[in-house]
Amino acid sequence: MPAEIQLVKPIIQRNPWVRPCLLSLVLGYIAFLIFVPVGTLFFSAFSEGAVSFFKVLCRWDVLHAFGLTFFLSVLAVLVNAVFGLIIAWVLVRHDFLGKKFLNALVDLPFAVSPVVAGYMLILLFGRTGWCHAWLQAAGIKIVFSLPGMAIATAFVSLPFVIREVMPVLQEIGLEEEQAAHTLGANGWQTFWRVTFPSIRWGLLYGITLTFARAMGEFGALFVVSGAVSGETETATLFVFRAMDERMYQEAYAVSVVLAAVSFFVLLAMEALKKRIHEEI
Amino acid sequence: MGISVKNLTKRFGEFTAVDHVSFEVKQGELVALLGPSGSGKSTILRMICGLETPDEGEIFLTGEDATALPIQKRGVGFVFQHYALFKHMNVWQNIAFGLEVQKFPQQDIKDRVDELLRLVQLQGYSHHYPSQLSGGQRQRVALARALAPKPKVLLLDEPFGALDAKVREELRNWIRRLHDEFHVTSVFVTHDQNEALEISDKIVVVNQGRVEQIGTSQEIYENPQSSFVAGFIGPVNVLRGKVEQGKAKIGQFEFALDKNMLEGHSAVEALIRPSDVVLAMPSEGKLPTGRVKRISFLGWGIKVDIVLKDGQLLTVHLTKERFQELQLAEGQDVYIQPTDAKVFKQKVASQDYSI
Amino acid sequence: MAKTNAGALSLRVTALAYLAFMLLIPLAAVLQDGFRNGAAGFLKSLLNPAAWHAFKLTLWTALLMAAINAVMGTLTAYVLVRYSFPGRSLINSFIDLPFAIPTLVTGVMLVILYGPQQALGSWLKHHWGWEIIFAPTGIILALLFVTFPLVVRTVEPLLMEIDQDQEEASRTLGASSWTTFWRVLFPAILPGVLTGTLLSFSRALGEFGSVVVVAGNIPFKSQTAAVYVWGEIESQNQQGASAMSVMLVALSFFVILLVDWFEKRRRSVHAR
Repeated sequence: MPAEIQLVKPIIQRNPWVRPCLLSLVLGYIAFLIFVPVGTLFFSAFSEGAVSFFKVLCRWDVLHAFGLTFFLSVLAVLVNAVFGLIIAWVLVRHDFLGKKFLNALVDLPFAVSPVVAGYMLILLFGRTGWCHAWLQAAGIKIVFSLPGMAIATAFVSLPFVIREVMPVLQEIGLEEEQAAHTLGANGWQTFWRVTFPSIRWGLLYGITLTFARAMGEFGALFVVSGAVSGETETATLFVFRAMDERMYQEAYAVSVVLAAVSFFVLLAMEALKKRIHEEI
Repeated sequence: MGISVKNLTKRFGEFTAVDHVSFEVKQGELVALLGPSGSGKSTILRMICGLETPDEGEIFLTGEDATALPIQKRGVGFVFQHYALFKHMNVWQNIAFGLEVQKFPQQDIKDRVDELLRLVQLQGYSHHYPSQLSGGQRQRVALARALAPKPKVLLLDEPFGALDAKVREELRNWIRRLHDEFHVTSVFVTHDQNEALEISDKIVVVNQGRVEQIGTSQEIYENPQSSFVAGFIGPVNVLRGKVEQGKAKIGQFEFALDKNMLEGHSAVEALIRPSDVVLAMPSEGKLPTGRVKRISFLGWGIKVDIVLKDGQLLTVHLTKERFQELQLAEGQDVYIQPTDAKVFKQKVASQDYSI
Repeated sequence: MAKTNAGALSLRVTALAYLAFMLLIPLAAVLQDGFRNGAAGFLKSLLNPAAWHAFKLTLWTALLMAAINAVMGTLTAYVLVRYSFPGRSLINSFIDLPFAIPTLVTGVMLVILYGPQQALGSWLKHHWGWEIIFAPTGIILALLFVTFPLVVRTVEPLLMEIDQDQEEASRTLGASSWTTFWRVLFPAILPGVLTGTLLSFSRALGEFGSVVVVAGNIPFKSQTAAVYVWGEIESQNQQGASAMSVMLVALSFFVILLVDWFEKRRRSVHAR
């Protein structure tokens, strides 16, 4: 994960055309690829006035969708932060058979299409699934219901905390922890007082990425939830349904809110990157 | 009963880093583990602390068998080469850490930390963070931190390795002072013989995972038991020669032989300290035995490089006064008389300690 | 390394249990289902015309996108590191936006911009015969957006690391800008370019949210593999869904492992 971007001036370019050409090419590309679409979204959302925009946001099903998205994202963050810390610790500080395999496995959610992620859960918990019998007996519903959506959201956002904390753990090294041990601190005390303060920015950055990914999840939820409006419909699922039903203003409005939230997430990411760089 | 180490062995794969090492450190002694890089001395230290586990052997701390004890329970203070100060805590919190974790009463903690800050002369720095301190200051904090919870044993792993020469010297005095104050049984690892000679009560010379010799600074310097020890402690000249008629004949010099040591060997080498050589102007009865090749000023004295009649090189250290008396010049013939030499069987070329 | 004791062991068991439950078991489920009718059944599902077309479409759009990304990402990194211009900091921050924005919203944005009903969209179709939405072009655009930061962020650190001394030395020895670029700069950033490109390729294989909106679900035209899987799930064709899923996961995961191995090797070479 890169440090703050430093300016490294090039040696004097002999050809004076290179700089303006490259600059316009790159800036033009970025404008075309990123800024224009984002701008168009905002423009379109407000094309019928701010009042109608906010009216859409006050719809009951929209509010519920936002609430559900937020709830699932926070849940995913909590679960993946705790387990992610443990896994990162074990992968960096422990040595055991199969460690390399586990380390590679952590990248699996990056390699799995969201649709496939949702599908895997259906295979496990659906009507013909492996676990169906026990679930029936226990009266627990996973697929087409909140638990399934929670698992799907946790799945797709699983690697971030692990991948952000691991390099920081590597970097800070063992010596401070060993020093704490010689001074009589047990594992838990060492972790809280010595290790944690050093990894907190990396952890926070990982959490930010986890939240962003969870909030934006669509494909897996689409498959696993059944998208019942007012019950299992998240913000992204709502947008899709709105597009499908040609409720364009509604779709744009919710999209704009999601995009705005992701701006804030982006700002948090950049601020945290700087902090991490300062630490190391 | 301080520290007792018996038959300590540690292997890393095929490589034996520590090979059946045994030694004892008396209660209250300050002992140096001295050896070249890779000799295993750090590994020995870390095993005493618990940072490494021995494959064979036992460790006793103040009479108790500590071989299987976890680090936390050993009561060992450890000072790292790179300080390992807690970056996110200030000086006061660093020093107090061990006391807090071991649940000393609050007032005791305050008193103890203040006492240590005074001792390492960092009273005004209690709110500073490690990043705001110099290397020497950081190491003083590390020392204070290790001593705070009153450890039974203090271990230091090349504590001055990361510091400048001048700061190193100052800190040597700190160690000695703190040791005199607290009398904690201490072992420090170093590859710097001057350090070992200067501050330790006893030196354990380690090479290739084995103990070469144990003794006081004086014993080791004046009576090295092997050419390695002789060569490692202090500067030394290595002159090669043969055994002839029961004496070691090296160039024009003859040295007595320790028959027991050199049974059956015919190729020998004599290790001569540059300060153990007397030079004089050639005269009747004092035939020239060498020619001055180069004269260098060393600050505290003069270094004279001499080529002997048989082509070997000899380095001699003279005091400035003596040099003035002799009025030596480069290219001059000179009479040489070594006053002390240690003769050993000739070593393989790979171990060359000549200056 | 921590000595194995009760605490360490329970940590390890927790970590393993979580990973097994969340990752291994679902993976096993889809693998088992994909090969339910043996390798023959697996291949048959993959080779059915709609599936095969979807797979090919996915492959070539991902490859083309990766190639474009390699070039534009590298140039972007170069410009951001080497040139100073107003707004540089701001633009640098926005590079990461595609990581933060939901992929579905990306799709919506592109549809607003290039949809056949929109001004731009219909103008393009009218004058150039370009269809963006519901066509491969749209897919590539969506993929480019979603993977944009990947190459930029893997090349940037390498560019920042490069010793200016090397370039200066090259110049004093008489090399031109171009030669210096090719023989001094480029070899140094090549590993980053490769890594970023491979990662964007892998990411693109499974992309769904943006693609399903932009390209829709038209078999044999703009249906990618991931969308195909969704279609099979909807029509309750498990074998088809599982087979394609396994194919996608295998390919993506293989590429990621390749990148990991490559990075490890590069780091160990540099350490020497």
